[in-house]
Amino acid sequence: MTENTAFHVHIPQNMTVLLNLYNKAPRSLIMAGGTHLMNHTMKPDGEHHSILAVGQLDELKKISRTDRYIELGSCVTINEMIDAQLGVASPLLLDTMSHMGPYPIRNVSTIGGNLCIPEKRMDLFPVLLLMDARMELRHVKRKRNGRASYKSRWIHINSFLDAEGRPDLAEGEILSRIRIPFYDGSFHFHRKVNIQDNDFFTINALASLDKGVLSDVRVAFTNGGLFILRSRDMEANLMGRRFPLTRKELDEVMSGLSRYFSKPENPYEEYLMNSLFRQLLESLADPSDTGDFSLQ
Amino acid sequence: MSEDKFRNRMAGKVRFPEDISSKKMVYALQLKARKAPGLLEGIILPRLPGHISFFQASDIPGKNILPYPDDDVPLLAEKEILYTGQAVGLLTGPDLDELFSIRKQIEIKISPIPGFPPSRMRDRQASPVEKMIRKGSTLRGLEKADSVVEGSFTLTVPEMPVYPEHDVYCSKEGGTYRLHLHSQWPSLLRKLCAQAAGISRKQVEIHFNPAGRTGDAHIWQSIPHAALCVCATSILRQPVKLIAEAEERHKKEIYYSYRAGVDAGGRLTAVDARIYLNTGAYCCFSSEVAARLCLGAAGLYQCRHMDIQVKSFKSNTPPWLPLSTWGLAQGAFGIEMLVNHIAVESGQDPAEWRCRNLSSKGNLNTTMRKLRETPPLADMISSLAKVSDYTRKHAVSRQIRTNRTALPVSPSSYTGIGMAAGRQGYEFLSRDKLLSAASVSATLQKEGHLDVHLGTVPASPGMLAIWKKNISAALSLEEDQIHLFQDRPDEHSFNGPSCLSRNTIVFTRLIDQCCSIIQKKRFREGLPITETRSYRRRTANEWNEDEMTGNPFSNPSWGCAVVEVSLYTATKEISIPRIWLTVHCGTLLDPPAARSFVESEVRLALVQCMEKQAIKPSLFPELHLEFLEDKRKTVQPGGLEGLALGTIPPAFIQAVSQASGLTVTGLPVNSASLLAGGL
Amino acid sequence: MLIPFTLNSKEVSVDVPAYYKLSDVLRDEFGMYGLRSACRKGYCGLCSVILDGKLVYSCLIPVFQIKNREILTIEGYAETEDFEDIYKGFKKEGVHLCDFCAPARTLSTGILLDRYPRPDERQLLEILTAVNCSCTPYETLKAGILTAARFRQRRVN
Repeated sequence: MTENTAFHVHIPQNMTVLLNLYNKAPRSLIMAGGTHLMNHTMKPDGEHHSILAVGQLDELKKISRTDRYIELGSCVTINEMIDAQLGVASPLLLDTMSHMGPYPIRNVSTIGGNLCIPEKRMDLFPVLLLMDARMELRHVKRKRNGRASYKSRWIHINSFLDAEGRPDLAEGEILSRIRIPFYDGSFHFHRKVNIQDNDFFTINALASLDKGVLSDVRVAFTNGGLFILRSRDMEANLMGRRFPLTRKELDEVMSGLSRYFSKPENPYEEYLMNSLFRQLLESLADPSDTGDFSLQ
Repeated sequence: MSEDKFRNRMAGKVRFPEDISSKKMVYALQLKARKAPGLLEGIILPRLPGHISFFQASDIPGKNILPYPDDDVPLLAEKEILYTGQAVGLLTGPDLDELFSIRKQIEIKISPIPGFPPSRMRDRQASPVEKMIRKGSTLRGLEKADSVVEGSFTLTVPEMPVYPEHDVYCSKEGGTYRLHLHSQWPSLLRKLCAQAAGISRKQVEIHFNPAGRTGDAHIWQSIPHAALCVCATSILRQPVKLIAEAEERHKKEIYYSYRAGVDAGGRLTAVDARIYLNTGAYCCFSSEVAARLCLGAAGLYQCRHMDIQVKSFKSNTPPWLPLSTWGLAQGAFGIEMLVNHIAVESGQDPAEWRCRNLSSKGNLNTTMRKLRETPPLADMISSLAKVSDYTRKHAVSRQIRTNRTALPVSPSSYTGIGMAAGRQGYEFLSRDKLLSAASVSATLQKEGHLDVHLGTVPASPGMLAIWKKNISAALSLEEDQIHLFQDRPDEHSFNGPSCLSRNTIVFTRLIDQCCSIIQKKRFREGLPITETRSYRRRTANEWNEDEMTGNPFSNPSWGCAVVEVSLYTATKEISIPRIWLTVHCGTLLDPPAARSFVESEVRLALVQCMEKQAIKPSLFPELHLEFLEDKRKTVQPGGLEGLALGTIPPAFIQAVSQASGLTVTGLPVNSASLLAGGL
Repeated sequence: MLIPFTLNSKEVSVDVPAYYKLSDVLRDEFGMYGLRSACRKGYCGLCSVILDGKLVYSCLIPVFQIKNREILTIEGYAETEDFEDIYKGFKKEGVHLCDFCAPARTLSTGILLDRYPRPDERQLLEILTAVNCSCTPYETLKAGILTAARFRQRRVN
């Protein structure tokens, strides 16, 4: 056994208990699958931890679907998402999930964990951002008379992060559900490139083309850190264009990229951003040829 | 392998030292220096409970020195701390968590001292070990040359994580210390453990951990752990389990600098090479490694004037020699890169250039001895070039690169192809008995069974079965009448390490010899009949290790690899679609084990090339592996180790250079380094 | 923390600090030495166990997560008919795994064959990726897995 100091663990039986416990001890660590925490974040020889284990909470493991969206509890594992045929709803999501580590890891890691890791933006965030996912955040509020009032609010994934790129959750608030609307566009694009060690650069895109004219496009870049880039202006600039672009148009769009996005510090990331964006534009010209390759 | 063994293995019933525990057992943890270099001023311990013990260098009952070839390494540092992580003490106690927490409270006082000078400065001083090959006069060779080609290359050798870690369990029963661990060198392990604990060799008994293959770079790493464990057991008189902890891994670099003269026909007129080898804080094994590096760096090609020098230098990092393959494969890296460069510059196909310039029968080899027969390499290169379509692919990739230096970033890739040839010798170049000794003793008992004392561990578990089968055929005995002993405390003979496929070849031969003599004596003399056969070291006339002249290997194996690479333009990611590898190693004893062995070495080579933690199955190339067996009866088996490691890295780098249009001069290569313009 | 759970179909409980890794607890408290504790980072896959019917790396699971859940290790799996199929398949194809990875490889192959009874190339890669050991050539392993799958099909049918 490795060197560790003790910490308290609570395994709440239901959401009410969980919210109350978290309200009382808002500095607790919420642990779902624990794949990231066990490896990276948890410093057992550091402070005295309190852990709220939510991985087996039935209310957070539900999957439901309507004809407009799918709703996932935050503790649904990646393999459960794959098995729930989410790919039918979104090939981009399926593509992303199938590149998320080996099978045994996907059996444990959860969608909520993937979104809430404070120091990194993992694979699912940009995809859900493009799909306009909404998230339910829940907390409990104590009234003066001691009664508890259970609150829930739905937010767009856009406002889930603060200015520094960390989850913007109020004290005692937890992510309980994620609602992913179906996207009816015909085109998706996903590339994941290893920058170094466990850091990856990704580009994700969704688009709708109507007789070669781009009617909708959504593009997001991420790297191994907190960096996540999406520019509505850039997307607006692309919309309405007919594909394939002329050489002049292509050059114009490419040269405009720096207007919309700040330059990454790492030259390799800058190269990837430019070249993968260009590849995206070329794939839009011929959606059947996505130039698919994967070295993951 | 028997059914039961196979089933037990799959059902997880095989036990390792870390699985063993006993009632009175205590754990042992090493205390390691947190900064270096420096002088150990003192170790300040917190108040230790009665059941916790702490040992330092002065408490070692025997000698606190591990005398490896070329350098002595202290078991526990006494005064001088040369690298971070050097062991200074041993903490023992029944509860592991308690030990971890106490270890944290221990303060090690170290006063800093200057480190080893950087490699360049070190050159002026005497290098710990220096080897050279001199043939003709390079000055004259360079004068004759039409052009002079220069090249500098760097090979970064990654340290691979080794599973299992070297946990060691030791218990004392009567006067015997029973060690449970994995070792590729049981003889040395037993000797050094006995020395450290101040006991007789006969008192140390080894129970082998049935681990998989560990890299040669880790050949002696279990010895300090075992010695500490025996010492602790002898002091405490309790069973001790020493927990091996993951160590900080260091990348070590080998620098090559070549200058070669080339005539109008593209032939080598002179080769001048300087190679610098970082040995870490202790230069153990460095003379063998330097000699093999030197030999590898001299190459396999005809050249009348050569000056190859290998210099080693020390640094404040953990000792890490010997390398996998003990340097021969790494030595070949530079010269294979260079000859490719020469061939391309002189407008020739590198495969053809190699075939034309390989040393053949009658030529003087690099170590001044006439070749008795032509190596099979030329045929191997030609046939490999044919099956891989090397010549066409090489020309096409080159043409594309010449015509178009910048392609648009479309979903496409550039391809490149590279080739390299290499050899392997299972014998040590050093005549040091510690390394080269090998003996087998076989006794045909009165009851009719045969006891064979090997004193070594086989390269693969399958070898034991093969040896049994061979013996059974030679002496007409049932296999269950044959008992093979890997290590016996009452064995007086000393055996070298099990590496370089040496144990497979040498011991197979010695067993055969024992069997044939026993067979002759069997019905003439009374039982028991004991026969001992030892490996005959080569005479100085056959191979002079100081002068580096003679025939370095009596039965070399040959390898040739072609590596195809795709470089994705949009991401600069490298993929390896195909590798062709041809191996010529005499007769094959165990074809499935040989294939498995070579494939795992291919993986190791690719890890080295691309700086990845491991090559995932999805990234593993299509491997076309061919063994060219020599069917002649007189042909002995040759070594396999190092053929993939010696040929794939240079072939890979040539392919990447071609695909990227850059002159890549070192390994590892990754996307970011390619974007930055090479290494 | 007292943690009751089912281990290889037996009700057991253990009282250990909650932060302990499941791999350590199974080895040290229950003698499940078939699972190896090698990298401890969820990388090598040698500590694979089946948790509620799903393959997981036990070094990434804190022991409190298994409260009232079911664990199957290679020791339990070796008693099943599924194990026999893999044993026969590997034996037939000469899959000589090393002692260190053999249990994890067997377990992962077994559980993934439940998921992919007739694995295609992509699914074979997924099975191979679950355990990271380079002792056996991939082609030999693939052949062994496919033969094991055939044995299982034959038995089930």
